[in-house]
Amino acid sequence: MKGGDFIVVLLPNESGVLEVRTESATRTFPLNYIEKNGVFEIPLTIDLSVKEE
Amino acid sequence: MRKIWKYILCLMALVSQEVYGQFSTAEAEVIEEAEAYFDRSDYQMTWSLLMPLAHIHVNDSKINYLLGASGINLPRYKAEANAYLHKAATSNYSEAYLPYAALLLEQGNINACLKYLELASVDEQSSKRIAQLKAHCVNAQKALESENGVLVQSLDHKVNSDYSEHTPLISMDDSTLYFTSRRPIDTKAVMDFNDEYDENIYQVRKTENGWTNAEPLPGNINQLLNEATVALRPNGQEMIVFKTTRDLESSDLWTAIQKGNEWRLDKKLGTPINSKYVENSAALNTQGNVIYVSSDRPGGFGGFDLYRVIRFGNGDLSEPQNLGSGINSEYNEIAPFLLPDDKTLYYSSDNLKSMGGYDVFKTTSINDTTWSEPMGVGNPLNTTADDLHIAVSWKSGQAYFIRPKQNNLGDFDICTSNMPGFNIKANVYLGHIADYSAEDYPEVALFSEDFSETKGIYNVNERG
Repeated sequence: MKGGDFIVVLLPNESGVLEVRTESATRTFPLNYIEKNGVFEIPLTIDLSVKEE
Repeated sequence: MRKIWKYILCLMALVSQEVYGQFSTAEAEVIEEAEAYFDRSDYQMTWSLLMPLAHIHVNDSKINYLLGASGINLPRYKAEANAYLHKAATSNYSEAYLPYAALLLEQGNINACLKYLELASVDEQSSKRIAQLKAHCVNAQKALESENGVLVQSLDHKVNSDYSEHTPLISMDDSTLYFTSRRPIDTKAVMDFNDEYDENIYQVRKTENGWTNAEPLPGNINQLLNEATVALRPNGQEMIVFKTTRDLESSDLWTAIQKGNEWRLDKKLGTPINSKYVENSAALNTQGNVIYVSSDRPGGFGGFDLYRVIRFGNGDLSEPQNLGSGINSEYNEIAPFLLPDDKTLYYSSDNLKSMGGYDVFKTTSINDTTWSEPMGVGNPLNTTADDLHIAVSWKSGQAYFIRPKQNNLGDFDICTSNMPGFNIKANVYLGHIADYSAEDYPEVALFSEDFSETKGIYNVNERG
C-alpha cells in the first residue's frame, strides 16, 4: 500500500479542482473556500482502493 | 647572589614590558602579523595569534582592543571579547570606543553606548556606523517606553542546547519545528578552525507534554559540511537548505523534498539565485513559484538586500527583482518569512529604524512591486540585540525566532512569543489517501476550475 497524508491550502475566495492520480485510478475533487474566521481545518479522506461505481 | 640579581633583572624586564607596552622583537612581529589578519577580517587568526600574548601583557590596550574587536565577530568568544573591549575602552584606547559602544547597546546599556559614541572619532569609515548606532539608541529609548503584551520565552533544552541554534521553520499545522544547530551530531563530530561543530538540521515535534527530543532530520541532507535550514514552503513538503561547498570556500541554496518520512536533497537553485556573492536566507510562497532571497550582490542599496524571483513550472528562475528602497536600505535586509496569505512578509534589518542590531519588521504586499511601509514588530520581540529569523505559525499565531543566548552574546537560542492581533484566514484540507493496490505514491495536484492553470503539486508522505 502506498498512501499517506498531504495538505492543501485555500486562501479566501480561492477554489480549484484537486486531482489525485495513481497507476490505477484518477479522481477529482472540487475544493471551494468555506468562509470561516481563522484557520479552518477540513479532513479529506480519499480511498483509491475502492472502485468508483 | 648572582642568581638573585638575574631574577630581579628578568622581573624588571617583564615589568617594563608591562608598564611601557614594550615587546620583544618576536612579540612585535606577532602583533604586526595579527594586525594584518585583522585588517583582512580574519578574526580567528587574529584571536589565535594574540591570545598567548594577552596572558603576558594583560593590560596592553592594543592587544585588548584587537582581541575584543576580533572576538565580537567570533560567536564562541564574544563574551570574552566583551571583557577585552571593556579593558581597552576604559584605558582610553580610542579605537575601542566604537566597537565597545556597539557591544554596550547589544547588552541594553543605551546611555553607556551613547557616551562612547560621543568619544569615538568620526571619520569617513566610522561615520556611517556611528550614525546607525545613534539612531538605534534613540529608537530603543522610545521603544522601551512601551510594551505590546507579547510574552517572549526561550524554548527548552529539548530544542536549545549549549551550542548555537538558528533559523526555526514551523510546519503549517504547528506540529513540527525544524531548525539548525551546531551541537555535535554524533560522537565522531569534530570542531572546525573556529572551534565550532558543523551545522546540521534537526526536527522536534510538539506533543501534549511539550517538544520531543531533537533528532537529526531523517534523509540525506545532513552531511559532513554545514547544512542549515532556510525556508519551508507552507505546504510543509519543500524546504530550501543552505549547504557549504566541498572546498569550504562558498555555499549554495538547495531545494529538498519530503519523501515519506525522509527529506531528500532535490536540486541546487539556479544561478539567478545562487551567485558568486552570498545568499544566506530565503522564503517560499504557498504555490512555490515565488522565492524571496537575501543577497549581497552588487546593484542593490547596500549590504544584503531582499529580491523576488519567479520560479517557473520547468524550474527556471527569473532575474531577481530588488524589492526596492521602501524595504531595502544601505544596511542589511535578511531572513524573509512569508505568511501563507502570500502577502505578509516579515524580515530582519539593522537599518536606521532598528532599536539595536537586527530587528524584525513586517510589511504587506500591495501588488507585485509595491509594499506597505515596513513596521518593526516592537518591544519586547525586538530588543537592542539581534532578533531575527522569525517564522510564524499561521494556525496558532505563535512566532519562533532567534536572539543571543542569555550570558553568551555570540550563540543564539530559539525563542517563541505570541503575536497579538495576528489574524489570518485559510482553509486547510488535511488529505489522507489510502491505495492498497498501488506500488508508487499517488500524485496530487490542484488545478483551476477550468484546468487551465496548475495551482500546486503536492507530495504524499507516510506520516499518520
